[in-house]
Amino acid sequence: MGQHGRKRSYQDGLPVAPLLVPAALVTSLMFLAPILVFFRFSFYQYVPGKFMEPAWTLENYLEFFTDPYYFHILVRTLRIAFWATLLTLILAFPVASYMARTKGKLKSFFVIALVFPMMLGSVIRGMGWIGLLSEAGLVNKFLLQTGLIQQSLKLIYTENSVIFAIVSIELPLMILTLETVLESIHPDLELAARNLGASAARTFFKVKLPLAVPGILAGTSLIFVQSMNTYSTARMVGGPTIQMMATSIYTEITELSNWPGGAAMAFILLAITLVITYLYSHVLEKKYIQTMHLS
Amino acid sequence: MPTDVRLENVTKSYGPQTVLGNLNLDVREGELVALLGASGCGKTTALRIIAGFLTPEEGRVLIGGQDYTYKTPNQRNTSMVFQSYALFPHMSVRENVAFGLKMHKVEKSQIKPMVDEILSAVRLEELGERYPRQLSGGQQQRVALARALVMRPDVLLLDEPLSNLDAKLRHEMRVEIRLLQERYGLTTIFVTHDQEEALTMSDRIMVMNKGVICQSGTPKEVFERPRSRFVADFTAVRNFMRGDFLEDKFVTRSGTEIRAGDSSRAPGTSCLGIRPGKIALNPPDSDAYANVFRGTVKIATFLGDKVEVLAVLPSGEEFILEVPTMAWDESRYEKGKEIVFGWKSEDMLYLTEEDASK
Repeated sequence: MGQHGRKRSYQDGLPVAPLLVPAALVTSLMFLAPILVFFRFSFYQYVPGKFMEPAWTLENYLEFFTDPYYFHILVRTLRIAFWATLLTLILAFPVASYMARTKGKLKSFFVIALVFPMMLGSVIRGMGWIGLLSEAGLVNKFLLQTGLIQQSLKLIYTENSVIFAIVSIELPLMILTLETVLESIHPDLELAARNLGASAARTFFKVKLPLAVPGILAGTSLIFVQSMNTYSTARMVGGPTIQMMATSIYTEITELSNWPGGAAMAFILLAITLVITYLYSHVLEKKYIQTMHLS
Repeated sequence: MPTDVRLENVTKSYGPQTVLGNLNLDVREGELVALLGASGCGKTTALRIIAGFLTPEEGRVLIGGQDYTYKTPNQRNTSMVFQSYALFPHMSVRENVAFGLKMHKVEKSQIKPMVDEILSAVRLEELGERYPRQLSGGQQQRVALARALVMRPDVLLLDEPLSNLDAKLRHEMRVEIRLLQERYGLTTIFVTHDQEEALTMSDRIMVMNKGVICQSGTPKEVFERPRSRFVADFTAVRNFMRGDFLEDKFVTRSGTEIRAGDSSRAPGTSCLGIRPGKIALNPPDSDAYANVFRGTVKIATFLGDKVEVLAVLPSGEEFILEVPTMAWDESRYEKGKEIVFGWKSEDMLYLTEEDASK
C-alpha cells in the first residue's frame, strides 16, 4: 500500500526533479567545466619559458599531425588498443559462454572472482606486473635459476607487455558484458540448430555468434575506449619507451609545461575515440542489430 | 522417411536422481504417440534422448531398426518442436524454415519450392519475410512446425508444443497438428501433461510416472480402463475409494460397503474409482445400479451446463457428482439436503495403488 502511494508520486514527477540537481551541479562543475577550459587552452599560443599566451591558433593541432614523433604515438596507441581489445574478446568469450550456463553458487563464485580484481586499482596491478616481469622480477629469476635461459629476457617496457597488462585488467569487464548477452540466448536455440543438422561449429557461427553481436559490440567498444586512454598501465608496464597518448599528454603538460600542446592532444584523442566508436557501433549496428530485431 | 522408434531399457540419471529407470518405448511407423505425465516424470528427458541431446547411461535408441544411441543430434533425422519454439530471432521466417535444408546441403534451387510448400501447408505464405518477434504466439508455433516438417524427418518430436498458447488457439492447433501429421504420415512423439490433449490427438497414449511407462494403450482404452490410481487420477477420475475386498464386498477405509464382486474380479485392487459424470442422481431402481447411496449435499458449484456436487455419506466418505444443470433443482437440493445417487457396476474402475509395470 505504501508502494502504491510512492508510485503515484513518481508519476506526478514532483519529488524527482530536485533530486537531480546535485548530480547535475557536480557533473557540470567537475566534468564539463574543466573540459571547456582545456578546450580553450588548446587554441592558446605555447611560448617556451613563458607558460602560455591567450590566442586563437590552430598551431597546436597542426604540430601534432605534422610532427612524426606525435603521429607515431597515436598509431602505437591505436595498435595497442586494437590488439588488446581483440585478445580480450577472444579470451573472454569461452569463459562468458560457460558462465552464462551456470547457476547458483557456481555463478556467484564466478562473479565474485571477476569483480574482486576490479577492486584493486590498475596502479596496484601495474606494480604487480613490474614485480613479475622486470629484469630482476620473478619470471626472469625463475627462468635463470632453472637454467632455461642464460640472460634476463626483456619482458617489460615492450608494446606486448602493455597489451597483456591491458588484457589482464579489462578481461573481467569483457566477460561480464558478454555474459549478460550470452545468458539471454535461450539454450533451446543451440539445440534447435543441432537438431536441424548443424554441426557444433556451424551452430556457433550461425546462431550463437550472431546473437552475441550486441554483447561483442558493447564489450569491445568499451574496452577499446579504455585501452586508448590507458595511462597508469602504459606508464608502469610501458615505461619511458612505450609512450601512449595519455602518457605523452601528461609529459607534455607536466614536464614541458606545454599546456596548449597537451590540451590539443587531449582533444585529438577524445575526437578519435569518439569517431571510431561511433563508426564502429553504427556500421555494425546497422548490419546486425537492426536486422536481428532483438528486443 | 517416417520410420519406427524404439527405446530399449533406457536409463538416465542426473547425479543421484534417476530420471528414467529402464524405460521401454515402442512407436510404430506413422503413429502419433503421446507421452503423458506430470512435470518431472521423465517424458521430456525421453524425448531429448531420442533427439540426441542427451545420452542414456544404459540402453539403446533404435530409429528404423538402427542403433542411434551414440549419434550426435545432427547425425539423426529427428525434428523437434520446442516448447519455447526456439525460433532463431536473427532470421526471417523463410530463413528459419530453410535453415535445416541449408545445413543438409540441399541445392539452393530446391530449397525455395520446399519452403514455399511447407509455408502454405501451415498457412504462413504471406509472412515469410517477417521476423519471429513480429509474429503472434500461434504464428510462431506454426513456423516451428514448418521448420520441423520441411525436413521430412524420420521422427517428429513435439515437446509440449501447445502449452504457450491460449485455450482457443490450443484447440485449433490440436486439429492442425493432427492433420499435418496424417498428411505427411509422420511418426510422431508428443510430450504433454494435458490429458485432454493426449486423448484427442494421439493414436496411442503412454502414461509416464517416475521414469517408467505405467500404462499404454489407445486413448479409449486408457480412458475407460485405467489400471492404477495414478493413471485414473491423470485421466480425470475424481472419486477414489481405498479399501479391501471382504468376502463378496469391497469395504472402504471409512467402512462404506460397496458391491464390487469379490477379489477374483480384479486381483490386486486396492482402490475403486468412479468418474463424477458417471454418478447418477436419483438412479432408477434397477439391477444395473448395484450401488446406491443416500448422502447430504456439502456444496454445489454451478459450472454452466452442469453442476458439480460434493456429497457426503454418514460414514464420512465423500463423492463428487456432475449433474446436468437441467436435472438440478436448486431449491430441492440446497446445501445440507439429502440426495440419492448411484452408479452402474460397469462404470466402476478397479485400480491398483501402485503402478503395475514397475
